[in-house]
Amino acid sequence: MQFLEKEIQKYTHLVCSILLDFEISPLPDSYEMPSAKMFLGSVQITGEWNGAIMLSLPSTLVNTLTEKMFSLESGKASIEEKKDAIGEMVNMIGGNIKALLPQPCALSAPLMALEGDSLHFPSTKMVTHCKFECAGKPFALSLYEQDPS
Amino acid sequence: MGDFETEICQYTESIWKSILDLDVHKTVDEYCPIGGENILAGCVHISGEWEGAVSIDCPMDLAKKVASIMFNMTDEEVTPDLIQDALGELTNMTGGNIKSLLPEPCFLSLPAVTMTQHGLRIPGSELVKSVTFQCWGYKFKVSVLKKLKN
Repeated sequence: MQFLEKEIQKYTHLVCSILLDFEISPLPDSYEMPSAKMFLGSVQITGEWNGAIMLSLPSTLVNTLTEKMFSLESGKASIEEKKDAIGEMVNMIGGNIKALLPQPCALSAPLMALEGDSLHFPSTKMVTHCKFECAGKPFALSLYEQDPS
Repeated sequence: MGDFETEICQYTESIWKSILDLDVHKTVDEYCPIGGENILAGCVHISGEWEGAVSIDCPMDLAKKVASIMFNMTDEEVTPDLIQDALGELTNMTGGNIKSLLPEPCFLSLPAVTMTQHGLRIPGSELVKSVTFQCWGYKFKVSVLKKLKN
């Protein structure tokens, strides 16, 4: 079992079902994520526990989630709306995970990287990587912790 | 608290000189990456009594040269991880200095580094000040962003 794996699954499910009315299901560790370029959203946690949470979603799923969140017609989501939607999603999941960590901790504003961009957290190691399926599309949530070495 | 321009200039010149032995100077020409250019952007978030972020955007070629100096390697020897580490370290030092100007308590996040062709995107934040610097033939910019009130 990875660090906070069950909790991450629970809160990701809660956020998706309550905020977006989308059901999600966990994918097995062995599931290979597609090599397509991903839209990345992250929040950082600072304080007694230091690290970052990163959400990786394929572009098609970003469109679906954004259209649902802002009640848009298919294909009408702007890049700003996509950033806001994924930022809100990672912020809500991050807020719930933060509450499980040693306090006090602060949550940063979301940081986004568009398809084709990459996002790295130097001096950290990935401690949890959970994969999910939503609307027939895979996405992943990763937790990075400051590497004491 | 002003718009941080003086402090951004002072800290950036001092950090790049002390860590890299490089002279960097503010330039009035803004760093506007051309389309398709790979930019490396480092960011640290500040949380607490003041909330926002400090970022450095620079061309990949400059980031590579910075890493080669910081880790005493040739351009060919530096790996992508080391390039990210180097920019992350510069961003962390710049952010740490800016944090010291802010009301306490404030906390500095770990750095995040993104390779992008679009620039850094931090929804819910507004730019307070961005200063462009020149180093060798390259430009880079240091920005302070403040979280928007909900």
